[in-house]
Amino acid sequence: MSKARDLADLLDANGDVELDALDNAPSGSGKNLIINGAMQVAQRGTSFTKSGSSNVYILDRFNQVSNASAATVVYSQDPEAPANFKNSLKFSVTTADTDLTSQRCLISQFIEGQNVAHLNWGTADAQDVTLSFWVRSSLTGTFGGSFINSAEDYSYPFTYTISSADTWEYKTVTVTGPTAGTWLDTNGVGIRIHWSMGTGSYRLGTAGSWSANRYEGATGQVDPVSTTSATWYITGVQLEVGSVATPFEHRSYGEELQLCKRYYQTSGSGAMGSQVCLCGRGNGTASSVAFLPLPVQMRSSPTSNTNIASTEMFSIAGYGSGTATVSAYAGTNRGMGTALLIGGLSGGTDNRPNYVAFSNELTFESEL
Amino acid sequence: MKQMIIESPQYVSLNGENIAVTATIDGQALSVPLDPANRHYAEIIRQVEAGELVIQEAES
Repeated sequence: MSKARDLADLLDANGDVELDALDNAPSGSGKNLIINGAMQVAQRGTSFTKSGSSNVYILDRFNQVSNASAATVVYSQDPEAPANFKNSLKFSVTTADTDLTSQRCLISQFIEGQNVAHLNWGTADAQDVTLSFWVRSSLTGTFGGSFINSAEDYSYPFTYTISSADTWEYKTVTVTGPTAGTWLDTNGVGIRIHWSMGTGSYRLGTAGSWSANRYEGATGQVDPVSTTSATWYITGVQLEVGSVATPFEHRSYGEELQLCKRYYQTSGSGAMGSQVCLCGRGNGTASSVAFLPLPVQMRSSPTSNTNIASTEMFSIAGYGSGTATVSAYAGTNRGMGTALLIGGLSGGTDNRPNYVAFSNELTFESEL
Repeated sequence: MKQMIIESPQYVSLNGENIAVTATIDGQALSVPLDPANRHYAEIIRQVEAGELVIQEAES
């Protein structure tokens, strides 16, 4: 669609500007619906080796969706980046999976429904969107990906072409807003965006149109996961309303980190970062109930890690230590933080205050 | 198809009420709150309803 057409879309039959159109037009801050598109935030670590089937989060907000059982791949935050960017997400193949008949390996971002409700997808007022990103690969050719809904029954495969090996190229994909399909506007999955690193024919569809299918790649695409030592990098990912890609919205690191913390938070690791000390209430003599305020309200009640070793509990009536387990659970106070039941202790007093010190990292996850 | 490999799920209770499920999920020891919006809990329930998973009762 041309810029002239875009401008024309802002006007009504009398030539006046429609305010509704301006409400949905890309503006300055907040236009990018992708979180961590510059691959700055890496709370879980900076390198991940994955073998076999696994759906795991890598750099913040980006995840691997894979059942390519024969493959071993490495995801990393890499300093290789185009001008004006400092990092990229690198995908590299250690062991290829050459039989993708009923398999796929995807790099994805799932966008929360509340963040894309204004797109009106699934209605007659559905807004077009444009995805833009920088990409580089050791391979050339036509690569694939897709947009798909929460139920994974309505999708839009897309393609982009990499012309030169090992060279950063800028790509844009404009997607017509779907007027059908079911699209959540809740805290569930609004839109799944996949970049396919390899997809078998069972999940491939013709690029450029919506259909009631679970397509996760495009017919004829290159499958990097099938080539040993293949590399693929991405950064500068932006999804915005409209049919024109605009310059990448560089948010500050602090802003991006706050957005990521809605989905994952950690007490941090290392000598200081892991010294969490909570004030709790004795629940019998061997456990404590505590409340941990979190700096950002999470999307849902979070999953926590439980392997909190070498825990110590100090109470007014005594002292004990043990290898504790931690359970975060759904409480009515999710807006402020999370309730914790810390078990496996000793030396406590029922219904008396205590302090519980952890020597391991505490993590909380409410990804989509 | 299973989205996650979930092993040894067991309820955790507080004052006689189940508040979470502990399990090893894709190799990680995790505690999952009983929140349908939590992706781990949603998958646990999906596997239970599909007859693929049984959650052990909480330790008394």
